[in-house]
Amino acid sequence: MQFQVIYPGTILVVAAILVLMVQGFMKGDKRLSVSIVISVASVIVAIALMWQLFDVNQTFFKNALKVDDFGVFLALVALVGTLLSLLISATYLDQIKFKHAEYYALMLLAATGMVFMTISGDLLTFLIGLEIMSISIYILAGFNRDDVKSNESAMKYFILGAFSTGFLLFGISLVYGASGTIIISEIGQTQSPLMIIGLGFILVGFLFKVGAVPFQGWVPDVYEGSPTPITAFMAVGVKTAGFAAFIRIILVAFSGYTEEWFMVLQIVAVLSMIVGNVIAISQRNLKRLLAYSSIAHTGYMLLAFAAAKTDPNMGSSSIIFYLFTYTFTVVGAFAAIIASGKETLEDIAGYAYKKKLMGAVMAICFFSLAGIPSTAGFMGKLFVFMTAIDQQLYWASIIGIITSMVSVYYYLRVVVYLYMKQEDETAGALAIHWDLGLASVLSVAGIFVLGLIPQSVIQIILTTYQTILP
Amino acid sequence: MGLLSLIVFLPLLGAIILLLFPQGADKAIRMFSLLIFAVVFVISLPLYFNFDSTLSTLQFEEQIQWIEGINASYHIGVDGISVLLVLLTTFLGPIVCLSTWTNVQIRIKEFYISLLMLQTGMLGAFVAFDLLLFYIFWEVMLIPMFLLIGVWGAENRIYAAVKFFLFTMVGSLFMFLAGLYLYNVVGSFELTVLYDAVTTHSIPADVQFWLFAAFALSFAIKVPVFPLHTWLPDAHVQAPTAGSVILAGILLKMGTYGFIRFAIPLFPDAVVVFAPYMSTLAAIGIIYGALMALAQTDMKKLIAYSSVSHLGYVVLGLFAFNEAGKLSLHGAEGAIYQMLNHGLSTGALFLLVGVIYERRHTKAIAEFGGLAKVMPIYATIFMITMLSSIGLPGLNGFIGEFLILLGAFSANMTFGILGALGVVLGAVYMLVLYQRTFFGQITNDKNKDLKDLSLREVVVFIPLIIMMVVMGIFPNFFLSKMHATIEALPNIEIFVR
Repeated sequence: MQFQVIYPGTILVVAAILVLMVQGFMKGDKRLSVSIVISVASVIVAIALMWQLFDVNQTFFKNALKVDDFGVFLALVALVGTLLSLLISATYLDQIKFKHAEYYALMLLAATGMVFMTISGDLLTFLIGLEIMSISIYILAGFNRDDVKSNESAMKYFILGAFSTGFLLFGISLVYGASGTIIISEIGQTQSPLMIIGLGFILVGFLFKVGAVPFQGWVPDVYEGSPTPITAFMAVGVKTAGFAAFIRIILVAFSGYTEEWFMVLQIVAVLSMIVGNVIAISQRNLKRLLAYSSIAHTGYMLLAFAAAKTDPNMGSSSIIFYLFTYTFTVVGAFAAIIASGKETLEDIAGYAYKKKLMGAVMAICFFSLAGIPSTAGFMGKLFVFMTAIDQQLYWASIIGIITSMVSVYYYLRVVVYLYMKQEDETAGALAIHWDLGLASVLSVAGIFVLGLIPQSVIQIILTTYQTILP
Repeated sequence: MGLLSLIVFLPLLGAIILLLFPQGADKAIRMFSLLIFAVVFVISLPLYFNFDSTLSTLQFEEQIQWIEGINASYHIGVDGISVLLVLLTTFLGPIVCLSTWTNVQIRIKEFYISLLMLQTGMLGAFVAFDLLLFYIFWEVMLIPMFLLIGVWGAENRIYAAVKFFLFTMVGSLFMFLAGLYLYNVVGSFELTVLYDAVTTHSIPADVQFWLFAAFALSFAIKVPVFPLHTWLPDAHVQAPTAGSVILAGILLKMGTYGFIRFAIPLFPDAVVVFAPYMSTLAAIGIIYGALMALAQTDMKKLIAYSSVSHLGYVVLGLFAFNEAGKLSLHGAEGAIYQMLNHGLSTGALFLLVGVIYERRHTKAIAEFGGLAKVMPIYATIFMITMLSSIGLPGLNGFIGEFLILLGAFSANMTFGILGALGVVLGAVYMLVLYQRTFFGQITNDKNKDLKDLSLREVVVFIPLIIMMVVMGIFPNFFLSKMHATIEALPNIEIFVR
């Protein structure tokens, strides 16, 4: 049993090493095809192994790992996000003609970090997981090295990310100093003013990683400059792993300081919703638009997080469900953007008539982002606002709803360009690889399943909170 | 899967099957969609004929657990109000489909897919008896309508489509929040449970005000009640004929239906307070719509403003509360009757404008004149429809307006008088339109060789004309269906005179 819990992480590392070794034995395009097969297969195996860990609910390696349904479910979400991001990568690498298989190895390593973050039982495991994930993604952000923007985004992400990790580490040290332990479930027993300062620093690190206001400055540039599949990967994987770890730390270790983090998170949530949704209106570049939209969606999740003050069960369940719905929606949207080969609104004019299915995928994903009923995005918002109303966060909810109205405008504009503007005749349609098609189909299926028959998923999620308690 | 589910989801299934049709098989696509619409209409007939009008409870009910964690269920059924609206929807379906035979020439497959999806959305909203389910259908039908206006509309279509979508969305999101609050108080989205909770007064009056305001805003935008009507003329003028017909015929009814199904019975304390204000807005809407219609030079815009006026009557009837806080039975019944009438007559008017637009590619009234000479059948049908719209006794419009005015007078004299004034104005703008379009000499040479209605077009109008006459002569055939349901409206007391 003890080793079984590290199988999912291990298989990803082994696969990453395998991908790197393949480079020495093969030539040309073959390397890439073999690499993607290895990566996809290993992630699928990791998902299967992770699935086995449901109902384990124990700590391992002297509290270094805490395998519970909460962590397992979020690890699954992160792995699904990884899988979908892997599937949309080949088409993109083909487009930019930059064929190096290290890309896949780095993605697998980042996924390893995410898996360990979600099931970490002490702050050290958490930090190591975070660093493995972050460093891989710093490199991936600059992977398109001939492109100035990609370089800029890697640099920016790295420098700011390193700073935020510094804050985080300092916070962890303070908490350790105050409580004398790094085990998350034991920290909560300490009462000390140092803990509050530590909490502040930890929150800075967290809000930076998930891209919430006022630490959102890096998001648009990094999202725009990074290779598109990596942008998707950041939006789903990093966010999921970040929320997983911090929900655990804040709800368990800081359960005695609810007043403090409740106020901070509520304000940050409202600001994120406003800033994200309002600035997104003026964006003409789809990647930047989705970057601001991701800030706004973080805001919605933080609203549920704030509501976790009085009802941690519903709060954490809403966030988990939202992350799950967001995974399918965002990867689907980026898949369609990659398929179009374009990045600005003007360039996708009439695209839906050139490629009917990809156009429909893009429209469905943007409707889901806007939270139109029958899509996953609506169900996600339903649970978030239901929780917020239930916990009497009326003003924050009303502001959230008003910013949602704003967001409908810019999401709708994408659909307007897709279906109602004159076609751009000059550009020929690009070839789409089978794996990108598969990713789009999976995303759309996920959007509709979660939007129409979410019952079975919700049932699992609603029991997860109990398991993180010591 | 019961009959009702079949009726609701058959159009969606048809839309999915249409996806498989090859591009360019226009004839097959049209025939197939018409077939689906016709089948939906035929299988919806038993709903009406097997409907037991002595019962006020739900009939053809289906209930399946949907999302257990939050007590939301797939609960559908029809009562005396929704059965009529379901029938109206399925009845207009094949007519609209047939009317698009020649005037939609681009992206034909997508057009019919949108049309079929729209049908599912509208039917679903009328039969849903779970707030969450209703909300989903309510929002889902926005998307096909948005596409219908935005893709197949006139020059300024994108502006109109986005305006339509945003207006409706703003209202519905407030309704969404209010619905969640209601859920938080009651613990269920089930409409019957909500009704019971209200009966036992578990919602304080001051909370009801806010909730009613949120629901009413959403429905009032959809109706549209003055001053929230500005999206309607734009949407109508830019929409293709089929879009206008469905928009006027059914989509606007969604708002008034929402009032009688949700806003009025769920918040009885608030309704009594808000009723005079709603009636005032309705009366302003009646007069304002009629005056605006008088000033229009574009036929479609004229009919759009006449819709604002006519739906003002519906709202006036729905809020005909007397001083004791009781709702007038005549007012409510007339309002629902008027919803059906408006669906028929305004739907037919938009179809008629579509006919002339297809021939001349203009809707400006000044372009026409003396059409009765070259298009006698068209002129006759237009005449009957117009008379139905202005409420000539013997045709359907009269019954609805009469009952509403009866209710309004017995509840509050002022609103009755204002409403009656609107009837006169209604006759003026419609007769002026008719006179300028059809009478006199043909002044414009382009109109000399206009062809009269083809056989297909006559077939489109005949059922509408028959229904106008039938509903005008045998109103009890329809009124009897809704009688029991309205008398049993939860939380609302009814008075007769």
